[in-house]
Amino acid sequence: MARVAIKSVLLVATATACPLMVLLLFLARRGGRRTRFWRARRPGAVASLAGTIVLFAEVAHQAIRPTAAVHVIRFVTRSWGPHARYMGWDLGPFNSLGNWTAMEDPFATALLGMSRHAGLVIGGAWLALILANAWRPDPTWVDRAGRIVGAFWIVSACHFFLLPI
Amino acid sequence: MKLIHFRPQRRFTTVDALTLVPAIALGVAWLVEARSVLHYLERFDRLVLRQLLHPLAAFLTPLTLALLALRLRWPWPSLRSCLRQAGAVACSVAAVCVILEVFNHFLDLTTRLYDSVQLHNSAASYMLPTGRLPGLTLFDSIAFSLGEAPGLAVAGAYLALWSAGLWRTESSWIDRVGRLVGWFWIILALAFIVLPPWSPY
Repeated sequence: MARVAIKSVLLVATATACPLMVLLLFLARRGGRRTRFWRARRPGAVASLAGTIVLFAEVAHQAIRPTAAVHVIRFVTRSWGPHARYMGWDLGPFNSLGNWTAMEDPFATALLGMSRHAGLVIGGAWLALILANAWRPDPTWVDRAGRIVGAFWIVSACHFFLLPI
Repeated sequence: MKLIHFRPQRRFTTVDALTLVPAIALGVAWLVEARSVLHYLERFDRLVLRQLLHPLAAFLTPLTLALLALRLRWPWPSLRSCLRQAGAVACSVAAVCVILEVFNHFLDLTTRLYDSVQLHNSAASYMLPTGRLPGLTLFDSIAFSLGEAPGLAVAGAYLALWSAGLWRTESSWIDRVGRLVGWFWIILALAFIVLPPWSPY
């Protein structure tokens, strides 16, 4: 029960953090006379940039999967027939006969992937900034909020290690 | 007066060879050991393909650690510029992730061993099948616990270096190989994501 509660809270928090992160990326682009490279050394801006790229990649992945699944179905059903799904092939939102089923929510799948992967990318980006001695936190609310969102993604990714699905 | 800074060229020495050969041999040993996965290829599916990715990650791991150790040997430019080189950063970030995954693997193994011992000491132990303890099979080993984490972290590190204008490269074999290993980690992570271990429906 606690596990279900934690997963539900995580899903809601992820759905909240995604648009917030894109908004913070737009706000972080403003930096006065500072150069683009200086702005890109703020950990909040880096977290927003990396998280937004992962978000678009996850959405693109979910958008491409149904198209790819059609080809997988054509290839797999030729060999294994209608039992292809039970062989473990990723058929996307289609059943083994190639018909669309509403068993999968691409939105929830993208959010799940986001909470698993964004923290790893942001953690690597922050580690690179620290190693390169380029960690330049900015005392503005935009950068602080970016850092909080980045920390949330890292905690979310760590949670998947300790409490797998 | 124009100052010319002498920077020694990084050559491939005997010490480099003596470090890299065991690292590559260890990775190849993992690959050879994992050939038992091929036994399942008669049932060629997504999960078998995914199982083939784990030995590749295990192959890259000793190579990454060896390259990082060699990068920290003389001659190196300076610690700051060394840690801005893409190859060194890729190896450092991947090494941190591998260490975290190894720690997590042993934490998980300890929990499962504790549960197994508790179960065998319980009154219901006569119902248990005789089997190996967890962690003693190939699929339970550390080689099969490495996933997409190092590759995603390397992708994040490359993104941070590029966006902050800190991407530095060196025309030496060690930086080239380091960058190549970083890209391999990233490709491996994408393959892990495209072939998930579970079906989401």
